[in-house]
Amino acid sequence: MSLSGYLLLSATLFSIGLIGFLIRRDLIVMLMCLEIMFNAVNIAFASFSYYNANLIGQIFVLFSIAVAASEAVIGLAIVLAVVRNTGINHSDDIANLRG
Amino acid sequence: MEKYYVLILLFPLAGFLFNILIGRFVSNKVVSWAGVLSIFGALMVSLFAIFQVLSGKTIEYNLYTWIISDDLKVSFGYLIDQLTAVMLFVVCFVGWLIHIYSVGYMHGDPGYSRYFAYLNLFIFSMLILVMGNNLLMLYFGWEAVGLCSYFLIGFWYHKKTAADAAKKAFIVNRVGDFGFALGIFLLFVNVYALNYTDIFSKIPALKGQTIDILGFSVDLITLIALLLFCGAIGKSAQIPLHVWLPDAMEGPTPVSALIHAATMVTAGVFMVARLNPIYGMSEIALMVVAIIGALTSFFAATIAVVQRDMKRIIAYSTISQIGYMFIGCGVAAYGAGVFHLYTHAFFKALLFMGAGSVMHAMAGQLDIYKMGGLRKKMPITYITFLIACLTIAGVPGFSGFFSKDEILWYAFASDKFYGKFVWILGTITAALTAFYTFRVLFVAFHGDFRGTQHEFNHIHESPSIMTIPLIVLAICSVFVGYFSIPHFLEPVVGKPLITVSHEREKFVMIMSTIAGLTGISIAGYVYLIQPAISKKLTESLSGFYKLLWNKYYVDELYDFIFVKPTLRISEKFIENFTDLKLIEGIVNGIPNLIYRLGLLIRPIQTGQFQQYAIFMIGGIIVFILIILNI
Amino acid sequence: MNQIIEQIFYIYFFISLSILSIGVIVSKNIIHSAFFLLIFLLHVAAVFLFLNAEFLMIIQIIVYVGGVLALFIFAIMVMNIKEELRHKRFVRFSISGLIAGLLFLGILYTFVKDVRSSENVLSTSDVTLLGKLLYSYYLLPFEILSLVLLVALVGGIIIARKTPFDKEFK
Repeated sequence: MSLSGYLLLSATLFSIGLIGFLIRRDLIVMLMCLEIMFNAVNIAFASFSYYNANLIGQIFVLFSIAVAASEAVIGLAIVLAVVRNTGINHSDDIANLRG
Repeated sequence: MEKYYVLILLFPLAGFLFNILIGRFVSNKVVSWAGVLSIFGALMVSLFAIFQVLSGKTIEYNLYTWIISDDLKVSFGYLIDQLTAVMLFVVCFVGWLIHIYSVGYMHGDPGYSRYFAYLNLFIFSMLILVMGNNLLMLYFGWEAVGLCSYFLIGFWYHKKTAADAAKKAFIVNRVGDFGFALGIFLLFVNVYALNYTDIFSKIPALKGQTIDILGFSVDLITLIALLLFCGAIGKSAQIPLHVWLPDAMEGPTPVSALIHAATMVTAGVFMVARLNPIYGMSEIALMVVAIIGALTSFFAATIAVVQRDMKRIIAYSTISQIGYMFIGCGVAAYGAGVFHLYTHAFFKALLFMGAGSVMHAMAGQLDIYKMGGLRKKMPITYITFLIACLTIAGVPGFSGFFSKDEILWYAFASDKFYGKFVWILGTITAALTAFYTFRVLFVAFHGDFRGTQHEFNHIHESPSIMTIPLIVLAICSVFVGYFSIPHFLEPVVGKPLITVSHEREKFVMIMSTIAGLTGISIAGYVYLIQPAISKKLTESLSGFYKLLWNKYYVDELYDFIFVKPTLRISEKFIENFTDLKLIEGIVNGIPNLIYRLGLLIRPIQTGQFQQYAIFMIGGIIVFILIILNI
Repeated sequence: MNQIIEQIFYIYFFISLSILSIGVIVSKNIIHSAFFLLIFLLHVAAVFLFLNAEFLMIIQIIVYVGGVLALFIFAIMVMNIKEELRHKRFVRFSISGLIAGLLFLGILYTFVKDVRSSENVLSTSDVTLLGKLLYSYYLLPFEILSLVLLVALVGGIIIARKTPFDKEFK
């Protein structure tokens, strides 16, 4: 297998995650789609690491996982706060910023 | 040494700054000390300067260059010659006495420090006016005294009449000052100088030049002189701009004494005397000055005959006396005019301060028909008031007699064709003056009290801080006339031409004395011996009385010609069209336009954050496409 | 031979990961989404194994499956979402989102389709070397990362507290 194959996998997963983020209404599923996108990027990093024969890519993956964990915590906390305070758990119902 | 005379200006300025900045936080005692001492300092320094001038020296010193702009070069400098010396003495000495008097008069007023600050500022401005060695400084002082006058007339600004009177004074003065400024401009563009000495050396070259205005060719000098005289008409309350001065009596009485009798209103006379080389070159301008002076003095005197408000009577008397001064100037006897200015400052300040003393005793009452018999309760005020009345009436031996006689003599003896006319008017006015001043005296101080017993018990002599200035001024009023100002001023203003022999001077003197004594005796007959006759006279001459009582309807005329149309135009055109349609249209139109534009873009902002994310992705795609050069 | 097996596994992972991620997006029940995500994450861990990154695989399983996914399921339970089935799943402008995503994929494809790489690949997995690198050259970012996690911890607690925060901070 070549690098471009793994990058293609990564791009495909990233795009699917992106599409999911753009079209799903449920806030929690949107966060899950973010996790999918993170994982797609991680695959890309790991494959760079593998095909370039150095470990820097893996270290980036480690950082990325830590940031993803933080992101998941904060994101879920925000969703929880929103749901608790407004009773809304669908993204298109939150339209307070409509001009 | 010469540069130290700037202290004359700096003392009142320091007093002003102290009182306006710190005066609020210190006790009234400190404020009054600061106010009085600063003027005293100015008086002392100016006495030094006056002694210098008496010894025949003229002081001119340029402190620094104020403005340099191409041809326009203005220096901040002062010129102390004989004319300025006289004015310095009047302003500082009378101003000082009035400051002392104010300490008693304004006692307990909430605006005490403000009052003294304005008064000091006034003295400062007036000193700039008289001391400046160029026209711009004269103009600066001219406007600054107008500003102080505005402040002080409207001193009790919560009273609507006072605020209105202040506005009236300011606006009417604007009319005159506009002409004054135009005169200065016209003079400047022709001689390219503002300094007096430069102007006077260059002015003969303008003789005979004409200027084209709307197809009429007008003599340049005459036009300059008349425009400058416009300012004098406004500031010195001459016909037709005399309407503000009687209303200005809404201010505190010491202010009326200082600003609206002794100093500021006579600035016009000072200006004409200062610029006498210009006026001397224009027969027409001199004629206008003399005729306006004579008419003003006559008409103001007739109005004063019937008024009942004590301060207003004195105010009309002031207008009338300034008219006298202009008669003097108009027959080229500038020295006589300034002489009358000088004596008038003392006796008119005395009259006003006497009126202030009466007001003080009567709790602000000014209607002379509500007074009566005050002489027993207020002997000092009575005696000083009597001296002032004798002086203004021109009784021989008092200073007013000398100055008035000087003016009438020069009018009579003048080579001008209108000399006799103004002399006749002046002599009649002298009789009227004597009549109305003694009317005030007899009605207010003699006879029986016309108010209630309670009010009568309240009447008291003023405190000594007020009576001492009265006594000093009374003494001055008697004796200042013995110093011959016209002779003293000859180096500055020259000697008026005399066309008739000196033997006729006796005749003029006797005529004016007779006029004065006639006025006094008629007043005595009507108001002391036969009080009923005044009522009968009023009824039989009711039409004439009404005309005079309403001051020839000048206020109403101005109201009809100027005020009402202005109000109507501002209401109909400016408010409804310019303001509501034009300005409001622009002001509201721009936000409206932006609102409409916003409405166009508004649908983009749906509040759906996933839509925003789609835009973001679209943006990223566009960027990548740009980077890839596709 | 090895190449062919690798190829087969690659195709398997490509297809299964795509199906699993699409499953996360389209499943009606949110719990099903979470389970699709669980299997997706395990598959990603397996991909790491193929890329000679055993350490990452362990971390992936511990952090994602053990931590993040458990958090998701907790959140679903706390929010007590039951009537999901009756709601519609997609926003009304989902077509434009789909188009944007596909365009993005197309752009990414133009980037990755002919990427060259060096011949020598990461031969063995060396966790010791990774640890040394992390604690020497990348020490400062590593420490900062700990701060990021701490902030996330505190922030998560404060945001998700029971009292509505807007009342307290007014």
